[in-house]
Amino acid sequence: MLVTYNWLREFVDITHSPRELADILTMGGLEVESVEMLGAGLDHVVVGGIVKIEKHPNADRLTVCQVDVGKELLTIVCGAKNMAEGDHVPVAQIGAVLPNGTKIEKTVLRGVTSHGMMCSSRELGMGEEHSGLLILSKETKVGDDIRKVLGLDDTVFSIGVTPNRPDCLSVIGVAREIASLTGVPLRKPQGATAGRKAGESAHLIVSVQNKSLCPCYTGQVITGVNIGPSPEWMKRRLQHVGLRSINNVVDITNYVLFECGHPIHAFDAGLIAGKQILIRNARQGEKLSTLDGVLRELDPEMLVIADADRAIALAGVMGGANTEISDATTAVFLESAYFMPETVRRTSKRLGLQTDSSYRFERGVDPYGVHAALHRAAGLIRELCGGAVEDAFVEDRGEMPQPRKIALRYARLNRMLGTEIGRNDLKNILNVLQLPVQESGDVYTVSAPTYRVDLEQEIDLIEEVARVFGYRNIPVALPEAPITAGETDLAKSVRDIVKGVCAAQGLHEIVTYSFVDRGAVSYLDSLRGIDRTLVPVSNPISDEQNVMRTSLVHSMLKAIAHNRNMGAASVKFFETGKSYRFLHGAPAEQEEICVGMTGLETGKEWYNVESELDFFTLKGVFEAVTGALGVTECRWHEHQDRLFQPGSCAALYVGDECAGVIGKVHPDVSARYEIKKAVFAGECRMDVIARHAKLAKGYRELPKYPTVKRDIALVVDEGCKAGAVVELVKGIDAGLIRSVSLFDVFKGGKLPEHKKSMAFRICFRSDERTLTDAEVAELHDRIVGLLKKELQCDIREI
Amino acid sequence: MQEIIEKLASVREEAMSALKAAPSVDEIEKVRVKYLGKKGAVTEFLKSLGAVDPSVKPAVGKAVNEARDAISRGIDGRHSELKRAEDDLRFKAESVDVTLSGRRTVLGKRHPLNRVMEEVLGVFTRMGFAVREGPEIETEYYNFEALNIPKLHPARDMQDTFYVKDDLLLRTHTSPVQIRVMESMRPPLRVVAPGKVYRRDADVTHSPMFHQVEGFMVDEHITFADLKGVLTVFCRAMFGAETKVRFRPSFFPFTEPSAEVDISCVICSGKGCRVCKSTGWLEILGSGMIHPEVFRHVKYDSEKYSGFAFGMGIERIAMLKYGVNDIRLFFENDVRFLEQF
Repeated sequence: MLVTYNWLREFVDITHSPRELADILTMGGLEVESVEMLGAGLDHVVVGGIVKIEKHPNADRLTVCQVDVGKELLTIVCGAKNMAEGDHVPVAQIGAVLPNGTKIEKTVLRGVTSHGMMCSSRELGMGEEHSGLLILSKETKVGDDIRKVLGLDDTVFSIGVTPNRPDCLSVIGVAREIASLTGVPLRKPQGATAGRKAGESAHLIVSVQNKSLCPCYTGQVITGVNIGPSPEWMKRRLQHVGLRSINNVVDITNYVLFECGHPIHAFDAGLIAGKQILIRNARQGEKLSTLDGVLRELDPEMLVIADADRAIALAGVMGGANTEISDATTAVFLESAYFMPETVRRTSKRLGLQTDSSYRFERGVDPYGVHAALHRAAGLIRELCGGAVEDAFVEDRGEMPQPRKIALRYARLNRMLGTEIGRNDLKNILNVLQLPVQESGDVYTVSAPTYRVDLEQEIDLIEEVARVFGYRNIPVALPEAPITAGETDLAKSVRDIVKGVCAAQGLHEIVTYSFVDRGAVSYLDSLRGIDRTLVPVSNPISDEQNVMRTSLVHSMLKAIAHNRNMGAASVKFFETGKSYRFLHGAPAEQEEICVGMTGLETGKEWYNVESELDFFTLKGVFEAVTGALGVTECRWHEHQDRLFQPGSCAALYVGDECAGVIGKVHPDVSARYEIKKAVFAGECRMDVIARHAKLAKGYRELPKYPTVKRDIALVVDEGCKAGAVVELVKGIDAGLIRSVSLFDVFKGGKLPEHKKSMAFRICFRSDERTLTDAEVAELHDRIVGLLKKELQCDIREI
Repeated sequence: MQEIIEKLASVREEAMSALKAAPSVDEIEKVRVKYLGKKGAVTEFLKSLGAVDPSVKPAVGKAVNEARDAISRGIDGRHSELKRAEDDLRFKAESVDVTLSGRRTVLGKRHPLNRVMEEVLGVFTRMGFAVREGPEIETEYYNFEALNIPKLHPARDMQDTFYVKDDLLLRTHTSPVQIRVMESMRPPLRVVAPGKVYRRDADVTHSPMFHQVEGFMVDEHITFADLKGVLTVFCRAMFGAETKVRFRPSFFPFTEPSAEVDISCVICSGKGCRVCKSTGWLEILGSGMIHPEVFRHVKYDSEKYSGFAFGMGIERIAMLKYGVNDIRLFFENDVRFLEQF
């Protein structure tokens, strides 16, 4: 909300500079988000009177003016055309630096020396008007500081008012807060309500049908009003707080709203049908064209102001075009009412229409503030628009919210804050907050003012006291608590290990959005034949984010595509994150680890040749992950998944569960992501590997006896799987055969067609003794025999 | 005797010059065999000692031994010389261009957001806070109502929400974890809850998905002064011991009194700059004493227990810490960006 320094000073004496005031407000809970000094850049700009205008001797488009700036007569060369002799205009004298940065210096223009510049509105930093000079009223005094003349000797504060403090959504509200925070009295606003009485109007009758939504409705008829422009001072104030001037009556309603915080509406009384004002629920299908020119369809939950025939305003939100104040208006009906916050909020939300009025009503205005606002507005209309204010104002009211009494326990206050605020200090603080209090022993019973809708219970008062006492004066302590280890849940421990291992493998971690494009998810899921109930985002910002992802692969491929486009030669990424779906009607979130890679395994360097990464680079990452987590029961199986290229896809089984699938992404899929190179990707369920993780490590004795190594090469059918060979060999004597590893594989050359050669290194070791050559030879013979029998292969000793 | 001594001297001389000229280890060996071998010249002198007049025997013996030792040292010396020369040659041949780059292993980098997240969690776990997580698809109850944000309350406007369906939504903050933890555990509690949160907001400083860390402590006698203490410790651990911290009144529906926590600007150290909008301060955390209404929802006795809660946005801290000026960079995952951390 915007307020100005000078406007505030009408209600409270401020001895602090605008900057200091901003700090006081911020530290008191009204955060000042910006401070704008209006006259900044207008030093040395004064009112000048044009004494004489002559053509420039050397330029058709320029004139040479003699301008009186009080102390002297200046010769100024000017390009504008809209001025006449005798006009008053703003003159920037030598030395001025205008808001747009223009430095005013003595300059020679086509042979004539110019001693200053006459300015347009835009050059003064006041809006965009630049068609000519800003012509001032002749009543201005030549030589006067332009800031004073234009009301620019002011400062505008932008304040972020929190939702609990609607009482501060006005000049008086902020002034009241300044009074509390600086300990000075608040000046009562003008337009006192004293002596004004509710009664009957000669012009109309008001009745509220739904008093639970509108506990109080008051109105005032003013006749013989002259509609016209507002005075300059009012226009400027409204402009400073961000409002456009419309006409004097409408401006007054806005002015009062900003000053008191109570929304006021003005109807053209002559357009009210049947001399009747009715506050009722809208009818099914009823329509109203609002002041913003939009035809709105209403529903019966919305409260409207109506005349005998039709709705004429949305209660607390916006008036109707059918009773709008216009140049032809002569009689005005001013409305000041209290609408319940919920009804205004519902209407505003449903119509997507938020106004200065609805913003305040839905946060809560002072139910007892209706009269002051009404009379203030009526007084201003009489003063500025002429007209006769009818003797009585009209009113219909129901049960009004009652002021609350709240008990504050002295001991609890200090116990909650960790302070030692004395009783006298407490009383002083309540006093500057204008909170009437009754003291009884330890209990202070406060009568909450009706404008403080946020004060409901004891804790609200504790906060008030803390605020005024000053948060900076509350001590800094450390809680007493038993020492405990900051433990972490298993899922996070596992995730941390996974991330560490992936990074150690040279993979960068990425973070992608949880919501993705529904089309992409459906494409991948249907391709893979997976039927999952998607979790939609019903109000997405964009269609690219309209459903929660069921897999991290889509975002991974997009990230890879982005980097390929940026020219990255090698991309290796991992991400841990959730996938989402509905399971049996309930949302289910499952954490995944996704890995994706493409491009070079090793770059072109002086020490190595360029090589491409492949399926086994990818598999190695998952093996490292399961290895680091101590997941021992891992098995890799050939797998079919149309996301991947057939024959280059594997499923990781942990125990009996399929934990994940990895592979070379099907070229058709990578093409969809516009990645030309082979992409390898895989995704694995974190919960499955977490369940099988053995995070506790144990020491195994180092081997005492030597390991014997034997190499063996098989010529087998090309479909023979290395894993099967390893299993076969190990099966012979799991105790003594410690490892079987493939170290060479090739096809072609001298080998027959459809055959390949695989070479394995077999390590033998006993933990009890040194194995004899005979023992090893015997085992080796058994291995050879078994392999020959099972695989019908040729065996080549190496 | 004189004759033997002279002969010995000339043998010695001869051996030494042979050594000097020996071009290889093999030649040295030949010299050794020739003079010190079983049938070597010096060895012969030793053998012949028996025939020497006993009166001069010691003197002759001494001279023979000296000759033998001298030749022996000569052999060692020449060995070293040759080895040094060979080494010099080999080392020269093996010398490398030390300005060539080393063999590099590409290190994967943790995402900057997660680095900051870990750093934040690290500070709190060292203070004995336990890490707990909660679901991202939440109900209205946990995200709003239990946190004292009733339906049709303007406070809901503070967080523009993504809805799923019915009363399901994407959590707008990590605060629902407070409720879930308090529902399942009794005080004393010290918990931090990290995670992803979602709000309908997208520009250079707002992302529709971002990360928060929520924290809270509940026990008997926890005060606002304790809140100031713990969060001051945190800010100094995170941003440096010299960091100034200030608390100013604010509003959150689920805490009261509530406080925004500002730190002295990390860019200008409080002198005023563009980042801190010339205020010298940066808003870093929201905090406050847990509202009695929140305790009521989890059936804690607010007369007995009190506590504080706080929450912070990881993106904002990361942007300040690393000088990142566009939040979208975090989610674009450009290698050239990720490699910098």
